[in-house]
Formats: sequence, structure tokens, C-alpha cells
Amino acid sequence: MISIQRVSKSYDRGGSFPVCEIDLEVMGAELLILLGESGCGKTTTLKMINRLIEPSAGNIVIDGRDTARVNPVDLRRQIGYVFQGIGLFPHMTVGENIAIVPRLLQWNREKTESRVDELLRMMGLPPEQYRARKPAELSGGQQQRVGVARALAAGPKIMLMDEPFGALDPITRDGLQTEFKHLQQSLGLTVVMVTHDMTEALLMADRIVVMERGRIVTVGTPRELLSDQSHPYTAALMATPKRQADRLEALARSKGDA
Amino acid sequence: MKEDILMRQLELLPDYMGNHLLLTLVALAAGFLICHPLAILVTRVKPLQWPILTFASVMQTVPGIALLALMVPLLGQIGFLPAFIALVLYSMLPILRNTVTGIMGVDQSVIEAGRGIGMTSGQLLFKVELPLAAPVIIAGIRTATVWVVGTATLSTPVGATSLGNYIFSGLQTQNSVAVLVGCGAAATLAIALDQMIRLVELAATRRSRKLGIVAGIGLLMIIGGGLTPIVLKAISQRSDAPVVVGAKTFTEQYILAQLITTTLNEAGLPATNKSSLGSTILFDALAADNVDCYVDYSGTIWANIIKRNDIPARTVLMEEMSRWLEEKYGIVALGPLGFENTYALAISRQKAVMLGISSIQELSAHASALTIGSDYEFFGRPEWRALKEKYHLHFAQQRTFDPTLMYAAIKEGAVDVISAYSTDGRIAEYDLVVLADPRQALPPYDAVLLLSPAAAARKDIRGTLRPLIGAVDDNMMRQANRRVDIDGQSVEQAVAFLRDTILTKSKSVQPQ
Repeated sequence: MISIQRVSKSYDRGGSFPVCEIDLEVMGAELLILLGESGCGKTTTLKMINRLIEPSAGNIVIDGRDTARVNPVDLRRQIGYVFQGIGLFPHMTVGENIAIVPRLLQWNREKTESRVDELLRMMGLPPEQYRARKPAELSGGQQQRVGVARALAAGPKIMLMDEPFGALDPITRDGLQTEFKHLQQSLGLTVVMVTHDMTEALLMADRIVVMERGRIVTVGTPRELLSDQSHPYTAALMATPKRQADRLEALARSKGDA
Repeated sequence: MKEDILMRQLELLPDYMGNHLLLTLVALAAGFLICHPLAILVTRVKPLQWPILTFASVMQTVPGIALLALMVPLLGQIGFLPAFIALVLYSMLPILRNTVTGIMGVDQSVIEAGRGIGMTSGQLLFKVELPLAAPVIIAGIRTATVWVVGTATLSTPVGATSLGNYIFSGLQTQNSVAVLVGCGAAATLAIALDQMIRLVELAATRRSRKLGIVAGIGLLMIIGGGLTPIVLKAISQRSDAPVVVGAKTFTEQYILAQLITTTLNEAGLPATNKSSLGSTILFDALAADNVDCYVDYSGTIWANIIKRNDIPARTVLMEEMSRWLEEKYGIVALGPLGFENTYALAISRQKAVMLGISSIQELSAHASALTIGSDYEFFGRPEWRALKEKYHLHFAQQRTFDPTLMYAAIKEGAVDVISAYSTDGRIAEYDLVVLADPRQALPPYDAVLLLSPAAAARKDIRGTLRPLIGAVDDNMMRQANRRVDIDGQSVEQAVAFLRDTILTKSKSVQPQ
């Protein structure tokens, strides 16, 4: 589906490489997570897929087409994009925000409106109630639902997500993660998501790509990574959620004893 | 009486307001059309930001009146154009800076979202950045509007008619009603425009059609109402351009310009006043045919325009000056009006008696204990240097005043000697003594009627104005000035007095 071939990025003409010779195949309908600490190159990699950042070297091929030969604006309209900042347009209503890409693609009014309502319902926001509201009148979780709806509006096959749930409170985040996973599976979306939250990665991903200093360290399913001890960095990363789970379990058991 | 004065001022309002509004609107529109794209460019090409914003800031720091005056020699003409360009420059900073600030201030996550969903740079600008920056941009336009309406009042001295005509002539002729009408009208216009733009903004943010219609009607009423009189005037006058009569910024000049205008009008030649022009601006305008005629003073031309330091005899000076003007500029000196308005040192009668002096020669012995007051120009002029050299004058202190305040200062004893104007009505009013000049340090200042090259070629103008030559003597001019400066009469009343006197004199002469 998406083929990343020896892609590098340098901002100083090769002095340093925030992303260095990445090779990655993203399968159709899979949810792939790029995991790593801040500055490991995961967000840069993500943004090179829709050319918000231009690669310095290498190729990215989507459905057999080299993205370098596609107009970046057309490319982005075919790919959903959701990020932590959400970035809803504050001067537009919820409905207008969701309708923006269909409008850019010059869909007719009727088709656009029914699509907006369909998406609002899909996101659990009754259209009559939410369509005419301004983003400022919504909670953070509702705003990100609208953000996801906007990204899905033109029916893209691919979604890029940059820490989409990072700014939400834990309960809202948990709910949205679960909902989004269902949505992704039912729509058959191909998703590349960036996160530094190990638990989120383990619970949502079909496969996880661990990155460190611009390079890929490991690629594997959550189960494989949890048991993989061959890479010290990956092992160290995975130790954290495991330790937290053990401690939570211990806490629960000790209460039960008392 | 007071109502009369007010009514006479209000009669001028349609013309002044119309011209003021036109100047303001055209300057603002041009300012916006230039600065708005420039600001957008600056947000895209960051290195341009510093030079362009700095240029706009520098324009803003130049005092409005200086910026306006600078445009005249730069463009080589007076009137609408220099005022327009100066005001455009003046409007730049708020429009530029607010547009740049507004666009730069748009939330980065919104920009990223716009790019991320596939907006082109243009779509991002028009659908996201400009709508979100609109309140800040409009605030800039409102600031510019208020500034330009206010600064436009300063365009009177460069020859553009505006509400400033009230203020400049009112200050000079001590007509506080005129000053108040001018200030009040300018303030009202500024507030009205500002509020209408605010209404447009409210209508846009609230997407209220009703508010939009109200704001639109309001703006149309202001613009339409303000511009109608001058449009009608322009249509009715299209056939033949009026003779333009210039005047500098003091009472005597207003009276003489009105005298000439009335004389021409009564002879069936349409004529109009362009008053309150700067002294050298007026001369340049005459040379360039922007102004058809005005009255200047031989000594002023001699020292300031020809830049001569010697002081020949009166008739010699007049002859040489006339020849020089004709050869150099094609300007024709039609002839002296018959009076002299010279700089003269004046002292209060009380002090003159106390010191026992009647000439500058005798003054010089006492000067080191005295204070001299003067207008803005005098201490920079060759006459002052000549006086100091020829009489070895050294005063204890030199002080500079607005001409009106200079007379008040000698009346109150704040200064002992002033550089008075010899035709000034206030010399008699305040009981001042004009000191004799036995060494002829002060050149003659005969009032001379000057015609532009174009006007000089017209027999009808020359013929109509010739009777004014030699018709106004010192005493008549002093009385006319006194009527306006001290008795509170209008310029028109003073002109009527002059014309009556000229008529009586010619009748008493004819029978002989």
C-alpha cells in the first residue's frame, strides 16, 4: 500500500539526518504505529508520506505511484490527516469544517451535506445538534472526533495520525482509541500513527515500528515486541508498560486480600 | 452676529467636506490596495519584512505637515497629488503592520491542518488566514482612517482643499468659530467613518445581513452626501477652468486674494481662491501655472527667491526683480499695489518715550538689556543679519512666536521689541512705535501682483486686474487688516471696504 524506500531527511545538506535511510512497507488495512521518544524522527517520517515535509533522498510509493510525481495538494486530499493540535478552523461551523475537503474537491452540495451528516453520526455526534456549532463550543474529545470526521470526509483509504489522542484526558482517550480501532477495521483503513505512548501503541497497533535517532530499530506485532529481547532499546521500552501492568495487578490483588 | 459668523462658515462646509472626504477616501483606498498585497507578500517572503515595515515606520515618524510639504518640490506641483501621495504614505504603517500581525498571529495548528488536508497556498490565504486575521486587519484600517482624516487637514498649505482650510485661515484671522467648525467637522467625519467600518466588521463576523445592510447604507450616505456637492460643482464648472488666486498664510494675503477673486468674478471671469499656501510653495506653483496669480512682496522675492543680499534703492530693486522673474520663469510682475508690508522693529510707545528712542540706531545702545520677539522666519532671514551688522544689535534674549502671540507678548511686556509687519492693524491697536531705519538695513517690501506665465498671456486677466495697481495704500491695507484681526469682521467685509475705498478714490480723482 505504502512503500517507503531508503528515505532520508536532512535540514543541513547532509550534515545530520533526523531521518536516515528508512525502509518500510505498510500493508493495506493495517494500523501501523511509529513509536519512539521525541526527536527520533517518527513525525518527520509521517509528514514525508503526504509531503508536508519533502524527503531529501529516497522514494515513497503509494499504490504503485511515486509521490514525488504527484501534485502535493492532490496527494494530501487523498490522504486523511489528524494531529494532536486538531486545528479545526475556528471561524467555521463543525459542518463546514467537515465539508472542507469535499468542497475543495467540488462535490455537489447535496452529496457534501449527506456525507457530513453520515460522518457526524459515525462519530456519535447527532448532526442536528452539532452541525451548526462552532469548534469553541465543543469539548476536547468532541473536537478530535470532528477532526477525525474531517479527515475521513472525502473517503480516503489512508490516514496519517500524529499523536491524535495526546491532548485528551485518559478516559476520553481510552474511549476514542477503542472507537477508532473499530472504525479503522470496519472501513478497512490503512493508518500510519505516531505516538510515544507505549500502552496506546500496544493496544491499537497491528504492527509497531520502533525508531531511535532517525533509524528503525525493530518492526513487529505488539505480541512479538513484548517477548522480543534481542534489541536492548526495544526491550527497555517494552519493560515500562509491563512493569506498570505488574504493579497495577499487584495493587489490585493486595486490595482483594485485605 | 455670532450666528452670522457661524452661518458664513457653514456655507463653506459642502466644498471643504467634499474635498476632504474625496482626498481621504482615495488615499485610504490606494493605501489599502498597495499595503494589503504588500503585507501578504511580506508574510510569504520573510526577508522583505524588515525593510518594508521600517520604511512604513519612518514615513510615520515624519511629521504629517513636513511629509506633505516635502511632496511639493518632489512632484513639482501643488494641490491634490502631493496631498494624496503624502497621505498614502501616512496610511501605510497601520495597514501593513496590522495585516502582517494578523496573518502571522493565526494559530499554527490551523495552518498545519489547512496544509495537511490539501489546501493550496492561495486557498489557505483566502479561506483560513485572511478570515481569521480579519479583525486585526480591520482594526488597522480603522486606525489608518482616523489618522488620514486628521492628517488631511494639514494638506491645505500644499494647495489641496480640505477641512484644514477652516483651521488655517481661522487661526490666522483669529476666527475661533472657523477653527471649531473645521475641527468639529473633521472629528465627526473620522468618528462616522470609523464606526461604519466597525459595523461592516461586526456584520462580517456575525454573518448578519441586517447589520451589513445598515453599515452599507451608512457608508453610502456618508460618501454620497459628502461627495455630491463637489461632483455637482465639477460638472457645472467643466466648461472653463477658473482663474486660481493664491494666498499665503496670513490675514493680509486672504484679503488680497479675495479682493482679486471678487474683481475677476465681477468682470465675468470665474476665479477661485487657494489659500493658506506655504510661501515658497506658492511661488513654485505660480511658476508651474498651478496658481494664476497672487500678491508677493518685493523684498521676499529679492532675498528668498533671487537670493540677493544687497539692498538697492526701491525702484531699482523693483525693476531688477521684474526683469529677473520674466527671464527666469516667465512670471510677470503686473505692478505694485501701492503699499509696503515690510518687517519693521516696533517697540511700545511707553518704552520708546522712557528710553528716548525713535530709530534702530538709538535702539542699539539699549539692546543688550532688552528682549526681542519674532515670528518663525525672521531670525533666519537675511534682513535680520543685515540689521545686526549695520547697527551692531545684540539683544539680551531672542524669542520666537506665532505672529498672533508675538503681538500679545509685547502687549503683556514679555518682550520689549518685535519684528512687526508694517501694515499690521495691531501696531496702532497696541500703540506701538515703528523704529526708523536710517541705514536702510531692511529692504523694501512693496506688495506686487504677480501673474503666472499662462495668466500673463491672457489679456482679459491683465486688463481686469490692472486697476488694482497702485490702488491700495498703506493706510487702507492697515485698516482692512485691522477689521479682520481686531474687529472680528470677515475677510469678505474687509474686501468690501477696500473696494468701496478704491471706488471713492477713483471718483474723486476723475473730475480733475
